[in-house]
Amino acid sequence: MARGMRDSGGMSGFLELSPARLYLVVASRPVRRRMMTAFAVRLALTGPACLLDGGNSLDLYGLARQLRQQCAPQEDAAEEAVWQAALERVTVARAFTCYQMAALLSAAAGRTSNAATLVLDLLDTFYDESVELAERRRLLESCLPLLRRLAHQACAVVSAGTPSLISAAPPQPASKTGQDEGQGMDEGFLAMLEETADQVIRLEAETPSQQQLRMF
Amino acid sequence: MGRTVPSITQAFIQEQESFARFRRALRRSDQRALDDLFAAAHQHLAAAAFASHALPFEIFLLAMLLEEHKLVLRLLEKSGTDGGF
Repeated sequence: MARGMRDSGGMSGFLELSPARLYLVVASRPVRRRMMTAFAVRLALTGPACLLDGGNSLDLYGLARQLRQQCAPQEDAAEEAVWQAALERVTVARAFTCYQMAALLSAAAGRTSNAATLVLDLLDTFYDESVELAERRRLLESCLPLLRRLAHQACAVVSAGTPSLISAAPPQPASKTGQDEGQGMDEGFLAMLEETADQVIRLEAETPSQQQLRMF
Repeated sequence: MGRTVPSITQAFIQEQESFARFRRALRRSDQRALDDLFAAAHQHLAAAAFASHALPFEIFLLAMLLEEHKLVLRLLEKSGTDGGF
């Protein structure tokens, strides 16, 4: 464990990341958000961390708060200095389209750095139906070797999930050409990511307890 | 494109809601006092937004303290003593 770090509730074992490995976190959006924040805190305390956000889901205030909680005062530096140093080791870049995400990954993989990479909600931009399915698939296929390269530089954690339902309308019929077949669904993107990853971490949201709460 | 960071008002509401259980456990009179503190911090949201602090709750606490100190100064002025300030 790094100096000046507090273990929070036995999570350290679970959050242990091996170098040169590509991890994939598959969970619901709130769980992914919490999990990736915890990974970011963990990595920022030990070295530089590059966060690529594809779903605009990074909890920056939560990250800062958790870093402050885990930074213990040291003999040679105050708690504030340790916290600020850890915060400055975090680099954040956001992508709002799959093209931007591919460009971000390409730029990150092109840099020779020992920074660990966290890609938040990678597939969110690839579920955009305004881009043709074939194009999205081609872009994602070009991103997979980049993720492997990033993992080899230090380690990489990618979070992803299935597309969320945003409309109660019945699904559109498939086009006659068959080009748009499968649009609006998972499109097999998650399976492609799972094949690339060294380890897949699947997490499920806690189901609310059925037990009646005590009044006193 | 949407927001990348919650606005200071959203952050304030989230912080206030995180104390809901604490507030519920307080006496009615203490609940009112706590509400006054948050109302005092609410007056300085513009300054808190400008501060762009990584931990906004620290700014909210300082804003509460600021209003409390203003009250102390007003009371001291009314009582005719400077109180060492």
